[in-house]
Amino acid sequence: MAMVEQPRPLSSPSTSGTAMVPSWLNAQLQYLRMHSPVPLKVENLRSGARNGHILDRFSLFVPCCLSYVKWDVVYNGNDTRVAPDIIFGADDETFQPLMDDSELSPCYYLRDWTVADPTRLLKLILLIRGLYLQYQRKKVEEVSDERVRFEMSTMAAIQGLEMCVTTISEGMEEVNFAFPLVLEMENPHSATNSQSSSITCSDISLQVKFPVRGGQSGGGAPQLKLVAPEGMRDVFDVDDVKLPVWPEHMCLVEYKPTLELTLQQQVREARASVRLRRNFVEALFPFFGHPLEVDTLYYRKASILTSFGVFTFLVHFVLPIQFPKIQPSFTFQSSQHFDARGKPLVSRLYQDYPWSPRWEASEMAQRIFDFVAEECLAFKRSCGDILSQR
Amino acid sequence: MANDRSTPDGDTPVERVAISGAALAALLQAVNSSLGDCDGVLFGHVERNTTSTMVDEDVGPQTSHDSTAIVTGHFCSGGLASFYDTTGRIDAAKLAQMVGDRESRGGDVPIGWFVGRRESSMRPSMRESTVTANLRNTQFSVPEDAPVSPTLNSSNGLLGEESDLNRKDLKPIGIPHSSPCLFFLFTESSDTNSIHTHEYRAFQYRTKPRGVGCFEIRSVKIVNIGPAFRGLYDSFAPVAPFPWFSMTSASDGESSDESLRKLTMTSQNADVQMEGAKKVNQSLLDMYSQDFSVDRLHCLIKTEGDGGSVRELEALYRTMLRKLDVLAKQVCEGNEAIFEQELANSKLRMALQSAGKR
Repeated sequence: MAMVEQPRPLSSPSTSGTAMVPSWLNAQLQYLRMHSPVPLKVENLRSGARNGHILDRFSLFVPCCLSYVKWDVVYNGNDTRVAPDIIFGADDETFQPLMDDSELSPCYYLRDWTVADPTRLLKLILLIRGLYLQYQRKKVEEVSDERVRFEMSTMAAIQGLEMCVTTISEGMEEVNFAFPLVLEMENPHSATNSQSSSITCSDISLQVKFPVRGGQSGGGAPQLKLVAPEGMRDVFDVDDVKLPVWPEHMCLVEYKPTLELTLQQQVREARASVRLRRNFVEALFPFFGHPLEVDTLYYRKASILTSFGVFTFLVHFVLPIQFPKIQPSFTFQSSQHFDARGKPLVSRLYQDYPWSPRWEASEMAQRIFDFVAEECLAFKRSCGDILSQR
Repeated sequence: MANDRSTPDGDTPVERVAISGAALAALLQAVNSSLGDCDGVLFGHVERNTTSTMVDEDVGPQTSHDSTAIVTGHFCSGGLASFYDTTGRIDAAKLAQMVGDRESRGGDVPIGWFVGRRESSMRPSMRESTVTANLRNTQFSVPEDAPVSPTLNSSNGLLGEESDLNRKDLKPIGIPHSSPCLFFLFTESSDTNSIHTHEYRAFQYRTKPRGVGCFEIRSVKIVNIGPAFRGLYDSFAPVAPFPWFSMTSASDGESSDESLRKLTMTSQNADVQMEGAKKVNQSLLDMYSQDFSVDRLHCLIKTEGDGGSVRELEALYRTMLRKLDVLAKQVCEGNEAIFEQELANSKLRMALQSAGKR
């Protein structure tokens, strides 16, 4: 299932205090935000009225091929009977969805437009986006380059495939393909209920760009980029993934399974890492006492209040995604020493202490505890020095 | 240029769009004073110039053609979707109403349309493209019984009350095939430093080069006085709704002979036709002046250079002023009648209400 990302909240209305979003538009935007199956972004609400009081037009960022195209949606705040109009991008002047009068045309929505129906805007946008993707596919089909034609002819079976052509500069175009990668994962709930032991995950998508100059692509490797939803970053960062090499005469249909297998392995490791991080954080408790704050979803952060003699201080742990291959880092924060501005003094970042990923979680905690017990004295001394210098 | 040989039609690219400063100012004013977005029809014509340049070599004179679309007037609706619906379909009756019968009075034909919208991109929108394509591709006819009500033409400010005067039963409206189809976009924005920016962009809509309709940006030349615009003045031809009264008069010996010959040749039927034409001219003149006969206007032109013509001209102006008076009086009377009717209506309503209470 595709990831449902909520669009970001609206940018605040423009500077003049009197400008406001009319209630009917607010309802439509609210609905759009809540119910859109694709991430739509509304930005730069502005007014087309002479007095500038009614905010009735905005820029809409519509996802296409894992990037966004910017459309202007123009209502007429003074005459709400008139359906909204859309201004497409500068490259898309031949995209004229109103010209065909078939069943699929948006004319149906526009003809009996009612401003009172909050679902209308989203329906209209989704319909036009569908037509836009078709229009882009047609444009890709018109590209005469053999390489692109071959890729097109082999990709029919890929689910959720989107494509578009973008003009980069004079005579220089880029054919983009984007599709979700299908990864098989162990089902975390398979032990408790009778579901199958694996689930498919298609959160991560691949974006492929073939540069085409004067109708000819160079024949070299295309630009490849993995795109994952923002929320995934705490478990798995696609920017860390080293993509498999693209050999000569490779094509996307062949490359896709290789990449999927590589990713599958890495995502599984990342998921396993969550469990290991949890074990580690729990192993800290017997030594340091109960933590003040723990990220209980992905176990990326934990803060612990502890003391050595009369010196009370906090330890902030940050656990990397590649835990335990890469050791956690931590800082001390004194609860007794403050700088001139009243801020507690903080130590340097420790990530060079003795560590082995092969240790048991309890041993990891034990070693860190020993290291902290030693190092905190130095930190206390440095805190005292800073205070005496003032 | 490649397109020289073919007879120019609406798809032939124009080199530029020219608009007089006054016409542009009026357009900007109309856009600026509308509360929200607005649209309207543009009127104008095309001027095609052929210039031959002699070259020293033996290639003969080289001729180059260039055409300029001249926007001479507009009609602003003050709102959106004035002659089309929200899907971009043209409403022929509404378009006819906006175009009016300007053409019959010697005005220019529609040459395109315009939209003024604030705080938006200077590109034709989804609806605007469709409206323009529909305007280009279809010629509309006003149905016989379409209510072409008198409209006030903003640019020449004349009350066209005799709408059925020159109306044929099926009058084609819209942009003629021979004329290019222009689209003007206006936008204005004001930033926090209260600097108002007016922007305009002219497009020519063309269908042929790519099979699909597309908008091509044209440079806009604002017509001004000066040597740069010499060509425009040279090619100026006055237009008037009145026919060319011939300068011949009965006193000229030779020409009277000619007219006599013509008279003998024409049958009685032609006499009736001439009477009809005179009647048409008279009613045309009556739109501008009160009680001034066409014959008198004819005489005025004939007696050129005579001392009497000044008096006659003054008399014409007086009748034109009188016409304005009559119109003003008509408006007053109309208003009064409406007011009285309103009063009567409200009295009736009151009576009904009180009756209902009882």
